[in-house]
Formats: sequence, structure tokens, C-alpha cells
Amino acid sequence: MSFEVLRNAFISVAEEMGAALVRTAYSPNIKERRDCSAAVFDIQGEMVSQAEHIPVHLGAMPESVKAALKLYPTGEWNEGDIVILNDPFEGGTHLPDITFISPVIYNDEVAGFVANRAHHADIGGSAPGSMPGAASEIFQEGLRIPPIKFVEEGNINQALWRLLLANVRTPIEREGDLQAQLASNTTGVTRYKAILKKYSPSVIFTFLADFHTYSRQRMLQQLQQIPQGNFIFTDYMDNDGISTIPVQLSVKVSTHHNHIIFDFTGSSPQTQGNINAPFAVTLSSSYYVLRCVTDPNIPVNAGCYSPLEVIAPQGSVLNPIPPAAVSAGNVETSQRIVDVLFGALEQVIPDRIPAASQGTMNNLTIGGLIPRTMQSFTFYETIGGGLGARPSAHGIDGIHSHMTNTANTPIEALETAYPLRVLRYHFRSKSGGSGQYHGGMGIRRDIEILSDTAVVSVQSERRHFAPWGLQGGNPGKRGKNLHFHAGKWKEIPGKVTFPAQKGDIISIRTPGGGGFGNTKKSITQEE
Amino acid sequence: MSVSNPSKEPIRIGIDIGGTFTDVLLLDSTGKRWHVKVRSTPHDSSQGVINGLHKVLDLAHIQPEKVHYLLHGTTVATNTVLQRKGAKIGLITTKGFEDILHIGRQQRTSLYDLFVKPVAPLIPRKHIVGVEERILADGTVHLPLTEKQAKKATQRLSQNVEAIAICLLFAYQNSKHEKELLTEFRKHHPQLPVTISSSILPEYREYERMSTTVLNAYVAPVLAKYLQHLDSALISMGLQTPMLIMQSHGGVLQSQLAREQAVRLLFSGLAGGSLGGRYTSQIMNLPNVITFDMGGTSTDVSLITNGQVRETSEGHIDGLSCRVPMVDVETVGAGGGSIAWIDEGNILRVGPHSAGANPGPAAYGSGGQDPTVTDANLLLGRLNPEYFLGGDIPLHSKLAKSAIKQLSRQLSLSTEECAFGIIRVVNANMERAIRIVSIQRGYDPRDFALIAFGGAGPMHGWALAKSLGIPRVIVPLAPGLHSALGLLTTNLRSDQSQTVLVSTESLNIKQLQDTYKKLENQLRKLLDTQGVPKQSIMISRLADLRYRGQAYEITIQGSGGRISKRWLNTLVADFHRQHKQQYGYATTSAPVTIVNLRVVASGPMPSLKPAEAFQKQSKLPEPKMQRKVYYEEVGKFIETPIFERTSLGLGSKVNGPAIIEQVDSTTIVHPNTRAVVRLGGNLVLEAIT
Repeated sequence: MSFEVLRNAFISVAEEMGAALVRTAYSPNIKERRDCSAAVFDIQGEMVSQAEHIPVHLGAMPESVKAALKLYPTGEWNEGDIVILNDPFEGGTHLPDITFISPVIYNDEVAGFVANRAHHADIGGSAPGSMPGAASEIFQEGLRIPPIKFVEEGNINQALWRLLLANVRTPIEREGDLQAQLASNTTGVTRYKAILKKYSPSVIFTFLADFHTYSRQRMLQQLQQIPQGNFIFTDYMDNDGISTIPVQLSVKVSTHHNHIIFDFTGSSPQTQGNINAPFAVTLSSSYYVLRCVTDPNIPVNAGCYSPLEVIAPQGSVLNPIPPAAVSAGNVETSQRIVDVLFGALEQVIPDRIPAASQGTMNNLTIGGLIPRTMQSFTFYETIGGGLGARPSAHGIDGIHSHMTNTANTPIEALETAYPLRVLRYHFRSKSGGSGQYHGGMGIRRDIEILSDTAVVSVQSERRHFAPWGLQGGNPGKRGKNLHFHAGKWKEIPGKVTFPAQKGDIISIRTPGGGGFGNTKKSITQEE
Repeated sequence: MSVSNPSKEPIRIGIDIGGTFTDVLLLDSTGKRWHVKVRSTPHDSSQGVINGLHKVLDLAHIQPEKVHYLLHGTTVATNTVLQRKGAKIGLITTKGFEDILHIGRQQRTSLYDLFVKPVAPLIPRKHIVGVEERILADGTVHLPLTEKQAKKATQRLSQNVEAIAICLLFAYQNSKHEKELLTEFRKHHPQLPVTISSSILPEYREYERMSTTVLNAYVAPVLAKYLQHLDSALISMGLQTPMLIMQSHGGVLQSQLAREQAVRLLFSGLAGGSLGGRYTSQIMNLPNVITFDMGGTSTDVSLITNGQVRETSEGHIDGLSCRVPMVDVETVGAGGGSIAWIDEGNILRVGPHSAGANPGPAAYGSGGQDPTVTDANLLLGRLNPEYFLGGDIPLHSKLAKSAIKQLSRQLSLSTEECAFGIIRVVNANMERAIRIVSIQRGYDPRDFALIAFGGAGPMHGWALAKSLGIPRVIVPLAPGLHSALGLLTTNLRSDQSQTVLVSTESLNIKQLQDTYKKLENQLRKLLDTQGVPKQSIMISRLADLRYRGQAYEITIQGSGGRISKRWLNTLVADFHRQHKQQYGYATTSAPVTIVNLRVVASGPMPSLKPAEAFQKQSKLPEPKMQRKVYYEEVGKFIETPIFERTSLGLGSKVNGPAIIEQVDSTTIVHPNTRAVVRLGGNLVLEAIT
């Protein structure tokens, strides 16, 4: 009977760590966009509970703790220790995401771990924001931190602290955010210990074992409803941003009564451009899909994911090796992994799978000088698009899909802060794929440049390959990027960096979602 | 507003509509309290209100015309939105931006639900019209609105709608175009109610302003109908005082004005509980309390710090943004009527589904089959089957038992174990709500007292407090009517705000003075029409500040004096201080931006005296009966003395285990705790050390 009470208690620990992080963080990226998460782990480093605000962190946390435990086995952790890491090849996702891991020591023994991760606005490298579009090696993307004891028995490693701050563009902001991460773990350790004290370690360890079993059982119940078989699907990303060659993502989903395998063998080798997805990102997308197609209410812990095996060959675009550039893997490739898995699963559970959604985050960066003050500015945003039609419902218009869910920038905030003017911001009519149920519409956002010059950078997908429909539904409209210059509109590539001038207009038109079912059975929209 | 006879207390009535019951509380001229509780009538809530009013006036032998104040907290506006039963409306906005309302902030409401429903919009896209016009961030007109454009838009919309909302880009900086459109409607369609964004919420962030404007247009006609209906029923009853309606932030507004500012009443029904908690905190001289209001269908938790109810301007209703000030309340779907069930993993869960007022818990005998929290409390001996709501609703233990037995079999537990499991689970849900309003907002619950009220609050309060380390629980005199009592402690209040978005360094003091003056004059006029004498109007100036580059603000109270450079410096210093309290750090060297200026104007009403003078009780209270009650601490039923609350006097002490019963609630005094009657009849529960 204590089960539900303890379940609530462990969820609260993760939530309160997350709240402490958001509350005390300095930068808007953590505080407002909530690009961060927190989680609790047992002695073996298996995840117990997690508070995440965007799904792309789902699989990343367990990988971080695993990487830290590999370097520092349980016996090497002391009270007050904290391990820091961001290396995408050792438990990280991309360099701006920094993870802190603390042991929970009770009666002189390790009783579990807590960890939090936050996306820092800059971690050095060749461009502000540490996500340079043209990077071909991770070294251009910023400072790489393998798992290191950053705090030992309560003492911060000052040498490392100084080294870290010396390598980032905005050290004061970084310091504030890193302090918030320290505070978050302190909250977690204190709360975890209070639970151990209240219920005794033996009660807690029994509960944790039961808790994993509970989630595993519920996941297995779900998997048993899925017919057995092998299901293959392939989709392509437009390109890697350096060459124009499409990048292949392939999966074989094997469903069994007691386990399920996502095997990405056959996907392209790692690319020269930055769309490589570190294995933790591939896991995040896989976990996301598993949760979506089963019961999202199953408590998230290691037991919940234990029936899933994810295979991605080393050196492929979904499990790259150093020195691959990876910064867009997190934002763009993660979305396409979801599409590929849905494409395979649709063959076995067609009533649960939506048509492809916009499949991109439409990253737009504009930098330049503010005319009056001559101060430099950098504006960054992502733009929503169409959600794919569902087997019993239309898609949703102009919304963030799958691996992200961050808020937009209000026009009235944007124009007040930057020398930019928004000329249009509305749905792209008829961009959703038609069908019995139609896909959601994409968005058109036109921005005029008011500064003398500016550098514009776009990272987007589904400009070449449209979001597919299902069961006879038509594909959603492809995305399109245009540049108005010297009186003429010109189409520009999906991934591009170029100089622009005063009076130029950048028009981002995001993809619509795919349609579902035969158009003849079309359900007319109310409006 | 009538003026009260100074030698006597003004006669006041508070009406609070809950999901299950409507509470009516009358305070007569001697300060005596009369209360009635009637079942809510969700299909037409005015019916329950009028029933309750008749009942309470009869009970107190008061002529309707003698009533000085009638205060009402209503859920009509909330339900209109939740059920999407508002007016058919049209919206005019800037051309090229017609989809702002539907796009929202581009976020979906559920991360992993592939079948997530889009937020149901209040307006179909075909009723949204764009006009060619453009105002810039600094308020200059970039593209003027032509008369032809204005005419075309009004003509297109006026055909099929019952109300109009107008929200143009940057109208908070320059309302010229919105006002031109308004004039056009007034001229040609005077019957259509029109809401313009620059007057309902002149603040930046186009989606939030538009959503708030649209909510107002959508709800106003329905609310007006309800209030008109109620007002005329009151007049025919002989009541002569205008009804005062609770706003979301806890101040009241005359019903006549409330109709035009409907959006300010969206959370009207939530404010009473927080006000009741604040009142108790004042009497008990405890500036920091957590209010815990557990009713039949839901539980509301809020925080009072330094004697002030915490407010927020970032409210949402059913996925729609609503940025007017409201009490910062966390609501969980857990109450006496919450249904217990077993999930796919064979684990016991409680809520959020509720048996409501009808059929209610199984024990009501009105046909409810599902086991609820009330059924569990009954089975554990905590509730008296003959004394629930003073005996108005007899409880049937047999029915409760058979409902819970069904669950216990599936879980292979005894009925009692299962009943206690239900209590533990519902407590765990509520504990999370308290953690959210306290810990997640940067406060430690151990520094607070818990004020437990609502019919079920005093039964669950102590267990929650213990688990959160809260040292003290206060149970008010009439827990079941505490929200209604809260209504009687309010003041008339109106608010207005204006976005300025300017750095404190480049701020022109003259501009600051002028904007505050403008807002103040608007509000003085509003209070004046409600009969508040000029000299008693109280004005507070507030401002929303933030560090440059951030996108969230903290509202800071300005000092009372003349607005000067010094006034501004104090404001900024207070901002740094509060930023540190709330977020753990302050950067005094960083540039600060003033985002919004706010003015709150209030007209005080006579303050509420503590409850009727309490006789000091020298002798030990006598229990009225004994029964077996289950306690977690000992894991078994114990023969427990039952006391009647009304038999306790000031200073009375009751040592646990004991139960204190009263008409509207039941308090559990756990083993090793003590209940003492303190000031105002408040029961204080503390551990025996």
C-alpha cells in the first residue's frame, strides 16, 4: 500500500530538483524555455524517476549516469562528490547540455544517485551558441568534458572551474547556471536521504525493485498486445548541410512477447556535417516512441524501458564516433528517428500511429548590429509546424511536435528587442496532407531585417522529402525557405548561412503534417 | 453602497458556490453567524443561491431589505469556458496575423499523447478578420487604418456574432486603431458588446493579450445574463443592496461593472478560500500560512506570506492564457467524493474522477456504486453516519463497505486495509500540491502553519502536516463555510496595468508619473461609481521588473510617496531583494527593465470582527459518545471519545486520540497530539512533546 505513496515521493524528488534548477538558473534558455531535466537513480544507476520538460532528454540521463559509473565504480563515490560531463561520446548528447551527477550516501554507503542536465547558451567553439552550422568536427562545437569529479567531498575543483569559464563566451551567465545545477543536486540528495530516513533503506530498496517490476510488467502487458514480427522502414534526411546527398535512416523493429528491438543497422555512415545523433539521442527518440505507442502513464523508470533493445552500429549517423560533429543531431535527426520508427510500427499497430509530422524544428538565427547603439544582437528561434493526422483525428496546426515543445517568441517582444519586423505570421493554408483526416498546417513567418547588415543561419529539414501520409493519406507540404533581396524572392537551401541587408525578408514556411486515410472518406472540417 | 450604522455591525451575506455544495453565511448586526449549506445546482447555479438565501434569512429572522452587503463568489464564468458555452464571437486583428490565437505559443499540452486534443478555440477561424494597419513597437503608426478597412471589417463580422473582440499588434502602445474600430461598431451596431485589448489588458505579448480579450468577449454575455437573472431575483426577494462579485484576485466589484470585466471573474470561485485563510492568519497572528481547502470534488492549496495572499498574472484556463491578476492557487482533483480505482498494474489510485454531488459517495445511498474517500473515512470510524452535515445526509455504512469490498478483493486486502489505503493515496496526491505551492516556489513548509478547512480538510490536515514537517494545523470555527466567510473579509478593488518596457536608466520620471496618474484616474472613477467616498479610496502602485534579457517579471510594490528618482531607486532595490528571495541570487550591477506599471485601487469595507466572544472554559470538555476509530500510527482501531465542537470554549484542551465533530466538518485529533481552542474559536493542533 505504501507503493503509491513512495511513487509520489520519488516523483516529487525529481520535480523539486527540476524546480530548483529552473528557479535559480540565470539564463532564459533554462528558466523560460526549460531546456533541462532532473532524475533520480538507484544504487545500480538505474533510473527511478525523471522530470523532463522536453522528450529529447529522456534517454540521455541514464546514459550519463552509466558513463560516470564506468569511470567511477560505486566504491569511489564520497559524500559531497559531483561528477560533471557533456561529452557526446561518453554519456552526453551535444556539448551545450551539461550533466551533474551526485551520489546519495546513507550510513556511509551509496544508496543511489541524483542527476540534472541543462542546456547552456554557450560552451565555446567556433560560433556563439555552440551549434555552428558548418561544423565538420566536434572540436568546432565547443569544450568537451568527459566524466570528471568536479566537486570532491564538497570542495569544488577550482582549476576545472576556471578552465571551464575561460572557454565560454558568457562566463557570468555560465557561472549562474552551473550554481543552479549544484543547488538542484543538493535538493535531490537532501530529499532522497529524508525518504531513506523516514522509511529505512530496506523498505526503499524493496520498493525500488517493486517499482521497476511494476513498470516493466505494465510495459510487457502493452507489448503483448502487439503482434509479433519484423517490420522494416527507411526514410531520408534532406542532407547533412555540407553535401547535398540524402542521408538514409533505416530501422528493423522486431516485436516479441517479452521484448522489442529497434535495430538501426543499414543507416548511413556518420556524416561530415553536424547531423550525427550520439547514441543517447537515438535512445531518447526510441524511448519517446515506445512511450507514445504504449501507455504514456506507465511511470518512467529503468523497468519501463527494460524490454527495449536499441541497436545502432558504431560509426553510423545514429551512433557516431569522435570526432563527428553532432550539434544538429539533437534538434533535427532526433525528429527523423521518430518518423522512421513510426513508419515501421505502423505496419503492425496501424491504429496507433500518426502520419509524419513536420519532422524539423526550423532553427533560425539572425545576428547583426543594432543601428542606434551599434551593439551586436543574436536572435534565435524554432518554429512549429503541422502535426501528422491521427487514425481518428486531424493533425494539429502550427505546433511543436515530438522531441521538442518550447514556446515561441512573441512578436511584440521580438520587435522591441531586435532590429527586425515580422510581416506575416499565420498558417500555410492547405499545407496539411489531405485524407480522411488531414494533417496539421505549417506556419509562414516572414521577418524583415532593419539593421544595415545581418548574418542569417537556417537549420531545417523536410525541404526536400515531404512528411508522408498514411493509409492513402497525402503527404504534407514540404517546408520552404525564401530570401527577398533586391526586389526578388529566391528560394534558399534547408541548411544555410548567408549575409543579408537592410530591407531583406526571410520567409520560413514550415512543413505541414501528413494526412491519414483515403481522401474519399474525408471528414469535412468544421470551419 | 449603503452606509452602516456605526453602533452595530452591518449585516452581510457571503455566497460561495462549490462543485458539490453552495454555502451561504450570514453575519447579523450583533456579529452572530448563521450558515446554511445547500446542494449546488450545476445546470443553473442561481437556483442554489436563491434557495440558500431564503433559508439563511429565515433562519436568522432577518428582513431582506436589512442586508447591507451581499458578496458572491461564482463559478459561472469558469464553467462557461470549460464547457465552451460562451457567446458566438468575432475577432478583428492586424492583417497577416489572423492565426495568432490558434497558434498560441506553439506548445502542445501533453508530451507523449499522440492523440492529444488541440486546445478547443473560442472562435472559428472564419470569424477572425484581419485589417490593414500597423503600429510599431514605439507606438508610431506605420500603416494607418483607413475608414474603408474599418467599415469592411465591421460589416463582415456583425452579421453572425453576439459579441466582438478587437486586438491589434502593439495596441498597448497606441490604442488609436482599436478605438476607431470600436467607434465604428458603436455607430452601426450599438447592440453588440465590444471588448478592445488596449482597455482590458494594455500589456505586451500579443497571444496572451488577445486570448484575455477574447475570453472577456466570450464570457461577458453569459455572465451578464446570470447576474441579471440573479439581480432581479434578489430585487423581487426584497434585497436592496447591489450584489458584489468576487474577482479572481480576491477583491470585489459591483455586479453591474462585473458584466463588462467578465475576464476578471474567471477564477471568482477560488478566491474565497484564500481570503478565509488570510483572515485566520490575521486573527492568529501567523503571517505565513498554507491554506488547505478540501471539498467534495477538489482541493485548493494556496500560500499566504507576510499576511498577503500570493497572486499571479499568469493564469490559464483549459489551455487558454488569461493574464489578469488572480490568487495563486494549486487545485488537485482530490476531495471527499474522489473515486478510488485500480490501475492496469493492480495499484490503488484515487481521483481525479469524482462522484460529485449526484449521485455522491456510495454511502449517500443515492445510487453511487464507486468507493470514494468519504466512504473510506466512514469505514474507518472517522465520520459519524448520523451527523454528516448535521444529519442532513444520512450515511449508509453498509453501502460504503460493499463498495470498498469490491476493491479490496482485487487487491487481496481486508476492507479496512483498503479503506486506509485510499486515505493514504489521496493524502499523497494532496501532499504533492502543497509541495508545488511551497517548495517549488522557494518556501519551506516547515516555516508555515496549515489552515485546514472545507468539509474534509480537518480530517486530512494533520496527516499531511506531519508528512511535510509542518508543526501546526489550524482548524477554523466553521471549516465547511470558511470560503464563504472569506468573502466577507474582502474589499472593493479594481486594477489596471500598462506596459512600458523601458530600462530604469533611460526612464523619464515625468512619463512614469503621467502613466501612473492615468491609471489611477481610471480606477478612481470606477470606485466612485460604486459609491466609495473619495477620501477612503486607497491606491497602491506596483511595477513588474526584470533583468534585461530575461522574459519573466516580478511584481514589486512601490512606496506611497511622490514619484521621483528616489522612488524609482527604492523600487529597483526592492526588486533585487525579492529576486534573491525567490530565485536565490540578485545581480545588482545588471540593467533592470520596467515591463508593466500597475495600479490597484481599493475601497475598504468594514472589517470583520473575530467570531462571537468565546466563554473561557474552565472544566474539561465532556465527550458526547465513544466509537472505534482507525489510526495509522497504531495500525488499529481504538475506542475514541467524540466531542461536539460547540461544547468547547476558549482554552479547552482535547488530547488525542479524539474526534471533534461539528455540523460542517470533522476534526481528527491523532494519538500524541493535542487540540486547543484559541482566539476566535480556532482549533490549534500540535504534537504533544
